[in-house]
Amino acid sequence: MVSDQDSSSSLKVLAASAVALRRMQWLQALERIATVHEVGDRQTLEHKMVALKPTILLLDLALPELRGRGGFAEIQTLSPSTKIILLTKSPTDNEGTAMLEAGARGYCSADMDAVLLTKAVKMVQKGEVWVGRKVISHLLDILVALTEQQRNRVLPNADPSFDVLTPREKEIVQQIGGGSSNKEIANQLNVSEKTVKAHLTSIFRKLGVSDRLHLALYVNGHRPSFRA
Amino acid sequence: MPSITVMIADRERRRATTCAEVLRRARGIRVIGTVATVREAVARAEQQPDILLLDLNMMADSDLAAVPLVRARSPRTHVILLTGRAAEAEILEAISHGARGYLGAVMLRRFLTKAVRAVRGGETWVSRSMVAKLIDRLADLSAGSLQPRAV
Repeated sequence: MVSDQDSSSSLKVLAASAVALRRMQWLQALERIATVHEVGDRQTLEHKMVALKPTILLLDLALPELRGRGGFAEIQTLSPSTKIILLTKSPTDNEGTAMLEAGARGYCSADMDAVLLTKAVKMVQKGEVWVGRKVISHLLDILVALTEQQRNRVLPNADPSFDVLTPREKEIVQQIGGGSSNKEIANQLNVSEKTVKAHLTSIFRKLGVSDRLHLALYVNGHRPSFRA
Repeated sequence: MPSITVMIADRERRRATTCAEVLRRARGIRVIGTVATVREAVARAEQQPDILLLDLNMMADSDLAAVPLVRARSPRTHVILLTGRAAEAEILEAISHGARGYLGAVMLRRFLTKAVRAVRGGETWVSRSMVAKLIDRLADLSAGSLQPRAV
């Protein structure tokens, strides 16, 4: 079992900000759990990233010549294993989302108090992510939208006409759109589940959809006029 | 303020009862129905509950269609998954398809009410370690490297 102290003795933190006061606050907050190195400009930062390969980089987004997201990504390539926590005076949900997408492991207010900063560093060290709740909501929205896009990309030009289906298949399609399981459909139509599955395979093929989810969405969203 | 309306869709009757009990004691939250199939949950989405508590197994059995189907009928409804143990991969999939949070059975008594209020308020109920995985997935999707699900 590794005690808290043992695990932290190897924790190397690089604190990058042009504001000396801020660096001092970070240093004071973290000196009990980590070895903290400070830098105040981009050039020294690049040098130290390569030389130290810190566990964690606390990076003030206002660092001169950092140039936002692109600059942050360049810094990351100097030490890919380093987990970067970005700090900014005025965090926004959009920027936070973009930074996390670009690989940051934390995004928070530069004025965070010592207790929170310590917690954030420990969390990120453990492989978790430190962001505000609103940013998480935002991230989920994007994830859901991208997942849907990805799904639709599978069949970009599929334009199934439900006319190609037999009356029985149309019945099944409508039940799928209502959330019915194969078993429920089988009971409803008084056939075996195996028969329902066979029908589904035929339906997927005829309509060019990939699975039940895709079919259900198609019936609901894309063809509101459809009637079995 | 009008009360938060909750629908429970759970095949596990004991867990559904626990949820209903916990929520009945909470101020400003009203359970408007309990169902045990996706079909019923989808049909009753017309009642536009603020929150749908959904059995993760039911979500999985519907090939992940349950949440999109409910939300197509009732966009205001946010879904919180009721999960068993060690269901991380399934939870990740379900969240990618629109669920806003999840709770294991042991968490219900302590956190269900809190989770319902948070998700109703536009927040999520997701652990930090899960957030890290969601971000990894997001990065993969952005890079276009994720393969579509097999049929």
